[in-house]
Amino acid sequence: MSSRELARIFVSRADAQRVAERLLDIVMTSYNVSLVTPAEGEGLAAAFESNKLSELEVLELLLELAYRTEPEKLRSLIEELGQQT
Amino acid sequence: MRVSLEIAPRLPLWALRILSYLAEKVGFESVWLSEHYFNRSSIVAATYLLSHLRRLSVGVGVLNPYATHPVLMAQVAASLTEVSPSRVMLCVGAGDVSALEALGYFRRDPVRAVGNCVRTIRELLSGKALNGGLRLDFRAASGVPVYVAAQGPKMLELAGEVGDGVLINSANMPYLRESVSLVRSSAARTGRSVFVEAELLVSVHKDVKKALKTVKPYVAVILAGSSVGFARKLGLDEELLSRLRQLVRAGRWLEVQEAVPDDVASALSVSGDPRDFAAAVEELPIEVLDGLVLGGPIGPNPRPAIVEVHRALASVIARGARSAP
Repeated sequence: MSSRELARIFVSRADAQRVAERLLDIVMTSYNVSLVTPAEGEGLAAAFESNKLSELEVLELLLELAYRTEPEKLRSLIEELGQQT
Repeated sequence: MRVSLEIAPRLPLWALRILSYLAEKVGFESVWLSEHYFNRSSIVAATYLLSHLRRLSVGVGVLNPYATHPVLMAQVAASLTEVSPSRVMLCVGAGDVSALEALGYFRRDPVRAVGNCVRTIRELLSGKALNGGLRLDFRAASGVPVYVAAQGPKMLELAGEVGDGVLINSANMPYLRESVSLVRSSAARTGRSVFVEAELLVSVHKDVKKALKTVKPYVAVILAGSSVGFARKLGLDEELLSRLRQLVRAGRWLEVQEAVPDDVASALSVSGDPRDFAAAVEELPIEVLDGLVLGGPIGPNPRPAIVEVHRALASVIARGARSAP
């Protein structure tokens, strides 16, 4: 399933904000956080400040970044949320 | 009671922005950006955060006079006031022995060096010329409080003599009341008023073992940078101190986590679940402090930990105190 498709599923969940925050935490606590480009990070920071983390485009970005930095943790989270990777 | 957060710029700037924005939102009054030579620059991070955040004061430090010339510190502080007046703070200290040695600096006569440094910065920020006529060619847009980071008794006394504020390092926590007394007495002798803040290493998580494990590298860095005398005062043997210095210098953090005993990590930090944290804060000599600076990892997952620790501090903050410098 693509990150776009997963983001579409997550954005409609009642706990979409919570899911987005968990994805953000996965990225921010990763030893691979430097794999996030400054432009992508700026996008996350702006979304965080404007309370838009759970919007479709931001969720998609978070999924892509979580996959890039912590693929195993992302897979566990997706499975926990009842989706297939 | 002013409550501040200290963040190490080991995270990218955008991540520091997220954590600082959150800190501002939940009610922290300021953020200190710690300076470690192999992390991102605290000065660049301060410039970035001052330009993105609206309310938080931002402190740079701890800078030391061995690796950064006092004139450059004054230049940085004055320049930052043009990014955002009245929100800039600077902290000067003796520097981490271990890091300075690795850079090829010898930490000679630290109390005198820090004292001279603070006086020089203050002269330059006030627009005065130093002996020899050296001066900044521009004026700071606002005042900049200059703090002293202090641990040992002589540095604590100096902080009372010359600092606008003092950050009493968390490794000194078992002796916090005694340290505050030294600063206050020294300030009183010189007719000054100093804003006294305790800097605590904090790691909060529902899994207490995880919280403790996360704080250990921070404890090790502080111990590695401390004097042998200070380590003795804490009852640490020199062999352990020497091993920690080697591991920290080599960046062998997994081994650091094994080497730091649990009791040492517990003694030098406030680590545990949110209830442990709240209980530990109640044990602090809050009545003699003007502020608390929560530093270290804050938690294995800093974003929710920032919210939890601020919530746990509600009763402390409500006690009120005098205004920050």
